[in-house]
Amino acid sequence: MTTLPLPDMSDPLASPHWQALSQGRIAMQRCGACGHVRWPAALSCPECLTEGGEWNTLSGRGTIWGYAVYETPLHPEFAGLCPYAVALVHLEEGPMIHGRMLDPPEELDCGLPVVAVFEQLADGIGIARFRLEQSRGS
Amino acid sequence: MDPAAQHSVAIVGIGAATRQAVPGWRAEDYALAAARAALADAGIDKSQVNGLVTCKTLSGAGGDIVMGRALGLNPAYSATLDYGTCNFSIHLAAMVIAAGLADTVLLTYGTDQGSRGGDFSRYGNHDIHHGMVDAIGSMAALMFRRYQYLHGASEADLGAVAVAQRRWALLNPDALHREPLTITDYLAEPHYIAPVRPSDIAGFHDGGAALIMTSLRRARDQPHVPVRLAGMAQTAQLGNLANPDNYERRWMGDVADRALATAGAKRSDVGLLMIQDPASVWVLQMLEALGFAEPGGAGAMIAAGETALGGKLPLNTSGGHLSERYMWGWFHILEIVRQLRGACGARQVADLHMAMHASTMVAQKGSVSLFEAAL
Ligand SMILES: [Zn+2]
Repeated sequence: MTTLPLPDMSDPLASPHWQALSQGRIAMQRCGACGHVRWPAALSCPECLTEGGEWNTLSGRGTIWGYAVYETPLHPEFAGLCPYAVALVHLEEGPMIHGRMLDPPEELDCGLPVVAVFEQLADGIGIARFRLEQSRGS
Repeated sequence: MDPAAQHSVAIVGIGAATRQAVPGWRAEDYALAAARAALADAGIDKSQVNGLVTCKTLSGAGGDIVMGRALGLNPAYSATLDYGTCNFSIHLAAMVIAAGLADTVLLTYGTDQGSRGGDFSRYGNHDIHHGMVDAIGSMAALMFRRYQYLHGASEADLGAVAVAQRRWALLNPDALHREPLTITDYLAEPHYIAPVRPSDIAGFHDGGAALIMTSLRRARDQPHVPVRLAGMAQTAQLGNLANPDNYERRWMGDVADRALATAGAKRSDVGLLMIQDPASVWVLQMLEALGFAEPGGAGAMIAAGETALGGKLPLNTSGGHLSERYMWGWFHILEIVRQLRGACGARQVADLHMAMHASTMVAQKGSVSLFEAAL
């Protein structure tokens, strides 16, 4: 179980995102007027300034923009995972988010398609990880 | 006097603080010590200062209310910017002077993040839970991986930055890192966060910097050659955050174009380039985005010595953040002033007429300033 600070599940603006993660989904707001999908959560669409927007479940698919590889332990919480990679994933709906890759770092490259998989970070709190859509080895 | 000259402003005093006089100095104590040095350098008393522009640390220290009290100032104008790199502060001070709100402005920055812990080692929402330990190192690794993907660059291309800046630092007695660093030494370092190495990331240091700016007309009375702000431009890419390509800072080319246009200058007029470098990959990206190197060609240009002493475009001649010390861009400006005064000794750039400082703030804001000696 993590000892690091957890997201505020009671945040009225962003809680649907955190709740969705705990249910194994990535959810973000989609503007009812222009269709723009936004993250971080906001009361209004930054593209067309329309208020509101529905929380939509995203596909969980995207591509690797870049990634960093942690070969040596820099924090005790993650020491057992080394070497691991964290990618900046450009989601197909537009937004970008970070996520730890479950594949070995040497199999990764920018531009490769990835898909989200979900883990429980703590009781009732989920997190998205990513894996290559098609393992290079197979 | 033509209108442009009438609104011209210059840096007439600089001050730096790098050592505690007594243990336990806070950010504001460094800023105050630097301000005292800048006043002495300009040969003026604080009673002649009627404007104050301060820069806050990321943890919120050093605002104008606190600094004005510490300095015992009641200026006609004061303001605080809560982001650094010095360029933004200089532009604000220039506007204040040109608008007639004040005619002699003191600019300050101080930080104790070296002894208190780095301000960048913080995490947004739950990025830490992905294992993104160290925000600046993680960003640098992501960005250079992308750069490699786009340009086929090698890790030696990135290493060229740290190696070249260390060579400059060997000529700067005030630089913190003065051990020789070859590309072989660099490549022998274990990765910090792959593909970047420890030499690619600036450390956190305590210190402070201050400037005195005034109208060019008044600047003529000062002891040093005034360093005129010849051109400036900015961009604020605030509505574009969902686009990861923002991290490549390509928009710095447009900022440079506009800054050069305000100065009536062209790229070949720039004889010294300072690029804000919390991590080495910023230098590769900006050297290219600014239009001084071909896309993907910055590493080879640096490795070929083109940015070294005697090269066609001396770059980060103080050693920069990587080798001199980290001071959020402020020491880059001090270096430009010293170079344009001809006061840099062994690392002095010969026949220098114009210098550029290019900086970005978290890949969201960009800024370019041009300076020349007002002989
Ligand atoms: Zn919209």
